[in-house]
Amino acid sequence: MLFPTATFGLFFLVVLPLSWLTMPWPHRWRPFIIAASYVFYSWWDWRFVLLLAGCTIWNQVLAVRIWQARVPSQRKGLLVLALAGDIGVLGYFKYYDFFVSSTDNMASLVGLDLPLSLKSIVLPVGISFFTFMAISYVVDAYRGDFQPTTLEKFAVYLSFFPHLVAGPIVRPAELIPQIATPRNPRRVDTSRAFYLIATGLFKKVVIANYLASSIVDEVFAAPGQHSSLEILIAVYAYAVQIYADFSGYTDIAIGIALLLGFSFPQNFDSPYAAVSVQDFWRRWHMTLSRWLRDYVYIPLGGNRGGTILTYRNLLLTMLIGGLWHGAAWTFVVWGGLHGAALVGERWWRDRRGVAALPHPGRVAALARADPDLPLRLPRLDLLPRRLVRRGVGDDRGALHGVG
Amino acid sequence: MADRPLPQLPPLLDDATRTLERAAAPTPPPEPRRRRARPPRDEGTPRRQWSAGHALVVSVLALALGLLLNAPGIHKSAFNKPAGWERDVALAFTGPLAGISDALLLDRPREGIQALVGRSGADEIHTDLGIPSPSPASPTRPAPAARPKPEPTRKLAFSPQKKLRIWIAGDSLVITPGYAIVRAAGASPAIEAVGSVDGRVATGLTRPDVFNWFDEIRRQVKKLRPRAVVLAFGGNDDKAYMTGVPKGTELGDFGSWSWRKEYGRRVGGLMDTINRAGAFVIWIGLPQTRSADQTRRFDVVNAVAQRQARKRAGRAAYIDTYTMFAGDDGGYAQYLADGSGRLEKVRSDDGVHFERIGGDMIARLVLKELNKEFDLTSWRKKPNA
Amino acid sequence: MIEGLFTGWGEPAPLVTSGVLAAILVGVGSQYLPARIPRLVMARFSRLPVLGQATVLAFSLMLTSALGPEGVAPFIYFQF
Repeated sequence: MLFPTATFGLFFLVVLPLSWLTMPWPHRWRPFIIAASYVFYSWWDWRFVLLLAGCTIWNQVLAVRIWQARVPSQRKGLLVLALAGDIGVLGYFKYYDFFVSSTDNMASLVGLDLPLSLKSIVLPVGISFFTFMAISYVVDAYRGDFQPTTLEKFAVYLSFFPHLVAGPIVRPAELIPQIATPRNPRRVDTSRAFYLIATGLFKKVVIANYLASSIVDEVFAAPGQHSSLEILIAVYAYAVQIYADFSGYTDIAIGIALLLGFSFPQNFDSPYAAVSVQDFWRRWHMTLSRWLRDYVYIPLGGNRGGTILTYRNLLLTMLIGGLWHGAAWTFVVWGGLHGAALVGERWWRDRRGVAALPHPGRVAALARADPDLPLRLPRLDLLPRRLVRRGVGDDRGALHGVG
Repeated sequence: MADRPLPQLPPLLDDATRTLERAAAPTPPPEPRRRRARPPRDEGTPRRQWSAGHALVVSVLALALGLLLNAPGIHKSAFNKPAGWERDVALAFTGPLAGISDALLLDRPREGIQALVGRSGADEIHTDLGIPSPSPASPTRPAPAARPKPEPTRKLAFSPQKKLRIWIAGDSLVITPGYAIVRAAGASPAIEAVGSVDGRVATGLTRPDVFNWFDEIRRQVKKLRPRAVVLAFGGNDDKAYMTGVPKGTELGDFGSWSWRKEYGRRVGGLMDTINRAGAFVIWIGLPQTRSADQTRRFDVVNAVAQRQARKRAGRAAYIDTYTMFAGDDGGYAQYLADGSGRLEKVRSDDGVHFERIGGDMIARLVLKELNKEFDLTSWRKKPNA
Repeated sequence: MIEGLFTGWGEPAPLVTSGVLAAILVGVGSQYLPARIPRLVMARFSRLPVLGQATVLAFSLMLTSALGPEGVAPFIYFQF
């Protein structure tokens, strides 16, 4: 079920009153909202529900064990087990084919023929989002930051349909306390909710789609057939498209949660008005950025290990962030570029003692620092293939006599 | 969390609190270190909070009024649904809705906006095929602009000065191969792709109400004057129901004799439309897909299209993607080994569409076909070319 | 793609239409909108009576539907 569909409209018109009617009795509301979320998720494929339920039970059992365990080594062992399960499942569904084909191709470069087979696995919708939320639950329990709650509440936290398929990635401490007590039906921020839903729909359905069908899809599919001006405008159009698409969708999610009485963290804060790459990541997919900071960057050592280690941690964090976006080398390179840009900026800041690169005007900053250009890189689809082979070429050479 | 002490501000994001909604934050967040001072959020008139009941009433009223304002569009979407009880129920509701909306003039703002952005008539349902009538299989008159006879020795020659104009259209399956053909055409000095790749998701020849390809193709070949048209249809046509069926014609189940006859009339009609405009047709057949049932249905569609192309030898060619994309076992394969043994992903994760490399494979065959039909290389031998 | 940025200047650009430029302008421009403007819009909206709110929302639905594509637009971030 996608948000901008009639099916979802009907679903929500049923769920909204029932949710508020059962709200005063948590023991009724929680099973109801879990059921509603599972129905929402099963609209794609009922088998996905088993995965979501399995992920819920696995993480709940281990988070409780971790919290109860007193021996540090035991706690660590349980954490590793939980993470291995989560990352294993994510890795299997999302990266198996990527890993196998990459390994196989590398092996064939040195003349090896490995007996690996590809499986054409269907990626369950939203798996990257709910796995990350589950990881934060387990890690918070390990750190002693958040006491694991009941299975029922954790199941609501993980499956709550507004955030289930595309975020925002909400922390346990943000959502579980809201689940624990009934929301106040007399004070709902409806105007903000309606504003977010209406503008989110407009961004997603009108702006993003119009740009995709008018220029982006065509130019990115055959750049060789278009003029420089078209390519330049298409690059900017894609930047706006991906922003409108994603921020529009999460705005709708936040608005829907608000109507149900829940407040979600903001996910976008005018990212293209950023004055540096670091600033960009504070404003773009904010809930992922802070997840990466708290569960990747800081565990790696953050900036406590000296300059070189900080640079390494930044780079690794962004590489993982890149890989999270998709199983392809283009995403790895994309993450690498962002990591390198963050390192460069930090190096500059350490040397000059300024917070960010100087910027001659905002629009110029967008053009020059162009923090999101690498976001579009995966779209270019030119990396490994272009390096390794040139099939039916997309060279402009044929047209311009330069190639 | 906002209140968790961090050893030092990490550079990736140094103010976690900004990511929290102000309304949700139990304690006011410390002012983040920012270059630009931001005014506090809750200045000016505060928002009025409403009850949950109010949210529900506003939602229901807004949706009801929205339904009336958008009635023509909603009626068209209902009409365009796949045949079945859902469509029947939806039509029973949207028909009267459109009537009420029209009577109350509530559909006028939508019309006005559509006219403003040049989309007048977007809500009209138009199922007239208008394909060349009597027997599409054997046109009584020879196509005026088409080449007289398919003689291999007298191929029509093209050069960088006089390029072969090709145009590409079809359903979603044409998009990736289509752009691959455009790229390949760009690499050949004697071919020029005209217009955009006209790939329209969820359309086909059975449902002109969803998108009327017969109109579109007639219009485009007139406007773009291509000498070759690459088409890919059928991915959404593996269903019994069709709109635009001539009065008095009874359609049987999908794949029945009457179904094949009507579908053949449509495929043949499109080919004739293009031939009469003086262009050659290259028809890209359907590939096998991950679903065995769908593949069986595609077999039926392919058989009809292939037969129509064969009937028009010299004016149309059929490209068989079915075997081209078969794996070692002859069945569906998502990855195929290229010449050097490298595994390449040729089909997308949905088990139906093509990946870029799959598109390139089709493009190569299309170019081969074009070279077979037209002389695209002799200009190289001429000294002044 | 990248080389195309430099080698094809002065050629016709039929895809760069006023609509595309306007959409980019709206998309980028909206990010420089002072935060008080949406706040003001929301505050004003919250003071409207029930019917007023429903009408505003219905017209925004109409605008989105009339300007949007037919059918559901695909969502880029679903692959994640």
